[in-house]
Amino acid sequence: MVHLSPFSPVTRPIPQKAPRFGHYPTMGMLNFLDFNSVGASTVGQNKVIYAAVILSRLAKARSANEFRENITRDGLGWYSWFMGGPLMQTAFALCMVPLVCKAAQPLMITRLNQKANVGKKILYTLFSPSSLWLLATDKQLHQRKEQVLQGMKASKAVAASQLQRTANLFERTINLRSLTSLFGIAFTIFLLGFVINLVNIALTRANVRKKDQEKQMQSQQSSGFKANVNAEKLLDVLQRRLDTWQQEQNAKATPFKSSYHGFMQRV
Amino acid sequence: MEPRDPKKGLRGAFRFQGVSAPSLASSLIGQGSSGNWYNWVVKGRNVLSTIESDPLIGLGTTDLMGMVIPRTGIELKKRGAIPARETFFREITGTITNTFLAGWLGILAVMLFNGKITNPKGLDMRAWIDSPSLDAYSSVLKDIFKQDKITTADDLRRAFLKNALGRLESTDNVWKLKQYKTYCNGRLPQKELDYLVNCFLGRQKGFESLVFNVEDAVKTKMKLPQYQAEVREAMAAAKEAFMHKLGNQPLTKAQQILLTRARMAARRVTLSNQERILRQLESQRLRLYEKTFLDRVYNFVINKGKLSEEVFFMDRAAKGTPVSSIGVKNIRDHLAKIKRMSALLDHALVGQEAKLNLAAVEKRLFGQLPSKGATNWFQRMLMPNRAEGLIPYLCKSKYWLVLLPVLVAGTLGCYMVVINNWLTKLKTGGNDFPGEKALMSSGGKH
Repeated sequence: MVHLSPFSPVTRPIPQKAPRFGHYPTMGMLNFLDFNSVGASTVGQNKVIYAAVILSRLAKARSANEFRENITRDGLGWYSWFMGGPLMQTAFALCMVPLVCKAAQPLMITRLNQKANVGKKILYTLFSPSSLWLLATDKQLHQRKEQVLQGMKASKAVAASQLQRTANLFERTINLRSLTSLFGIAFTIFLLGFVINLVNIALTRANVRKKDQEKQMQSQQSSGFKANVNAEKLLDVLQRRLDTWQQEQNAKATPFKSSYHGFMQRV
Repeated sequence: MEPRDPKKGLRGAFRFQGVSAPSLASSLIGQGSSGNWYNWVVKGRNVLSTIESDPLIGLGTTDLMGMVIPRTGIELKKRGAIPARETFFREITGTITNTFLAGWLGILAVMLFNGKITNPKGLDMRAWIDSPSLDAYSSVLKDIFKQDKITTADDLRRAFLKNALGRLESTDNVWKLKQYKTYCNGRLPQKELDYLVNCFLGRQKGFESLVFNVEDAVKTKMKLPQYQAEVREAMAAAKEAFMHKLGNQPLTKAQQILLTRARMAARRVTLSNQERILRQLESQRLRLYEKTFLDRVYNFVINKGKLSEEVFFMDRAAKGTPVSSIGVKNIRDHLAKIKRMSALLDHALVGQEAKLNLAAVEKRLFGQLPSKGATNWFQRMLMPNRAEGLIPYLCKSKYWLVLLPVLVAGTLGCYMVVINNWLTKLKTGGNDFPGEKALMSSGGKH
């Protein structure tokens, strides 16, 4: 008997009976939002919650100025709170560190995904610079320093001067790494606390003053109708006087009624 | 080193401390003039590394120093008290809801969802494995299931641990550099890996008391007389209830069968309850030892294995690329989670010690509920079920334990703006934006 099907018994696709864990429907969302450990929220969660909070602030804005202020403050705030620090750190490590000590840079930076295309690289740079240039942490450098120095001491082939030089290089790298994170944190704080806020206030002030001026112009234009306004006021006054006179007359005509009325009012 | 001058007092003492610091300091400063100030550099370095070590601490710091304090100050100075109060309320509630609240609610969720209905298997949810890691470890296990060398339960455990621990790779660049290659490692060498696997299995000296099989402990505990007495009591109670219903008449054959069924049901329920509670207790006991265990293993990995703090989890046993969904993670974190995963493996290997049936183990780990039949969408997608595999079970539990806290925290965060506007309305009486008014009165001409 000859098999006419294009699949021989060997190449025939086997129906997958194995459970497909990777396709479990909840996984995509969980990968982004899952806790790392119970009791500590993750950055992914913070991003989502802060975004929702921004939307609520926009929805409840009481004026156009507040709406604009919210967009500037929270939009820029969202970006610079989560990504400003890493971006500035990476920029510092790439541009400033080699100016101080060229040998420190390869100890500090691991280059990843260097073969990615341009669009991806731009996205990475803006939203997760660490997937292109990953900075070693302070603790990692300390550990590496200890391991390398121990190894050098044990090998005995290394001269004392070289040992000292290596120690100095690592120490300098650690200092530069700390300076990098200080720069990142300081920049974020400066941007979040001062720049965004002061720009917002300046813009709102300009808007408000513009409106003030417009109002003034309007009031100057409408000064031609002043006579009319005065006539209305005069009519008002006359009407009020007429009312009081009528009340007095009524009180004279029916003293009992008026006293009753006054009594009820007092009660 | 100069002798200490008693006349200089404390200041002298501090200066000597600076001198006794290693000459590395002097090399940085220049001509051997090591000063007291280098100690301050080291202190500042430590503070910065603490801030950077945990993203939550980092976000909290930038929030407090960048959003709460300066913004309130600037508003107070430029626009007056009411906008400043509004800003302070907005930012301080933002700090709590955006940064911390979801985590705190997560603890509450784990406590609330630990009951009979939501956690029928009695797994210890505090021994958390995040889903990217869970996914990666599962793929490791699946790779192992494809091999046919595995014949015993112990083989499977060893293969998993060796494979998972062998995939950790340091993220830093130092071990790749030519001049330091010989002194440090990216991945664990074979010898250290074997030692570490033995540590994880509790076969190494000093680790025997820190590691135990939870399922074995549950089994031995359930054989204790008090637990067996409990089962007997439950069966007797079921019988009594049955007889009471019938008015204590002599039973027919059919009634006797029903009685046996009722007694067996009572036994089953009691046993499963006992198992659930004992498993939780034993997992808690295991978690008590976790910190000591991790301290020792971590020290070994850093000092003997020559790895560094932060690691990738690679997608292959040799070479390969980092698993991007996990990203960079602390090695201690990975070690803890691999340990917890091996505890899950123990759970799947119950009764397989004598003769291993790989298909059964796989089903116990990954088996899902049948898509057709007696289950509905809610049961299949959201409700953890006793009958399904451990990992779908964990996924469903996570769905509740993660999404509910995030939703509640988000909703509370969104509601804060309403409260804030209402508070301002109480003060000013109008529903206007107070920031404008302040600028108008100070900057406007009329």
